Amino acid sequence: MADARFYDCLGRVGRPGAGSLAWTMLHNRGLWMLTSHRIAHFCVRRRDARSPAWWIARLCKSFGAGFNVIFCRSQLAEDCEIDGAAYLSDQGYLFCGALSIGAGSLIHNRCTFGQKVAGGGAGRPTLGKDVWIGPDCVIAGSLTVGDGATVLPGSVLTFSVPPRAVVKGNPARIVRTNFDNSGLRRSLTIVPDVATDTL
Amino acid sequence: MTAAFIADLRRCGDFDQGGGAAWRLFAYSYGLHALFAYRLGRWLLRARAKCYLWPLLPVCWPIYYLLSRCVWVAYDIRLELSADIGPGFYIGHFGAIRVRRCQIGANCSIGHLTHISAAADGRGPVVGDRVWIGAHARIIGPHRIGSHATIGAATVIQGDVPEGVLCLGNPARLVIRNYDNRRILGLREEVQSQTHNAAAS
Repeated sequence: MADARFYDCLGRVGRPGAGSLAWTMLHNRGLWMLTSHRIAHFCVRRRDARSPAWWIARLCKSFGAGFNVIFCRSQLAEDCEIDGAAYLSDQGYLFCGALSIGAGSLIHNRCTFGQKVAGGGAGRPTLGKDVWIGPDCVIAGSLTVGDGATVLPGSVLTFSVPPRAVVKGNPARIVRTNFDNSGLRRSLTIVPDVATDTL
Repeated sequence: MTAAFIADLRRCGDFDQGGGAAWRLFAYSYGLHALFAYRLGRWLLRARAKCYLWPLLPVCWPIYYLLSRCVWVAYDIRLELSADIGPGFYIGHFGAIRVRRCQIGANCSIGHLTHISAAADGRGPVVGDRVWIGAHARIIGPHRIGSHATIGAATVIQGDVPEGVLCLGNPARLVIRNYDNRRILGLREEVQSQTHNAAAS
């Protein structure tokens, strides 16, 4: 549930001098969302082994869904596989019905993944490792976003994105291939300078 | 109000996969909670014309304001009373939904982060029957959306939309004529005829 990689995303939210670890956790709603998702995910994955821990998690899960809606303003599919060290924005309005989100990806607010959040079904995208997804993006349909891809703000994807590509627009188009987004993922700027300058 | 809200309930029940209890379906239908407050407010607006209902008003208006405020704060769905929404309305999710100063027909469906409102001059859009409006869509200004039209996710409407088409993109482009949106609306044939009867009676 809360593996060692989970604490990596604390490093992402905590600026130097931002205060204690507890203070950082208290102020980052993306982390609340991630925590309640991990509890729900634990319930769904370990459905066969019903230990006391499972029952406690099951109890927390039933509160967690409403908690995510009211306090974090987002919904995540319970069976979505979020690898550790993924950073979800704390601004809310994330509707995540993705099948999986890779490690090291940074996802901004107001994004929609998948055609349905609850109940599974078709049309669920797969996000690779180290992707950067800007605010107000829509990724609906069974698409794949390759490792290290960059989806600029306001894009609506209609095709699978190859690894390390940059896409933007509605409907989306590829504006650059083989782009290194590690600089983008290190900061939390919404409209990246590198994109406005050179793309 | 009651007939319209029962039609909303039926629309909501159409999405029942048979997996859980009915109370669970309605407890987690955030749009239904917003619609309840909206239908109550619209009923109170019309109740002002009937003098035998006047004793109810000082009690019910505070209830309406409390409910709509709770829905606004908890789910961020704002269905304002200046909007005229037909029966059988379905709100797919919660979050940053603004519906004001517009006219929406029967059996429509909208997604999250959708804005349907008037432009600065105060003239609002007119949406026909059985229209599916996807998430992140923007319909702002005096546009007419024809019946049975489908407006895809993140579409920004900047003009009139004819009947029965599928629009996508920013600015919106006509992609398919005669697109059948019955499946994505989740309408069942028998339920639709029932809601028509409810709206007519």
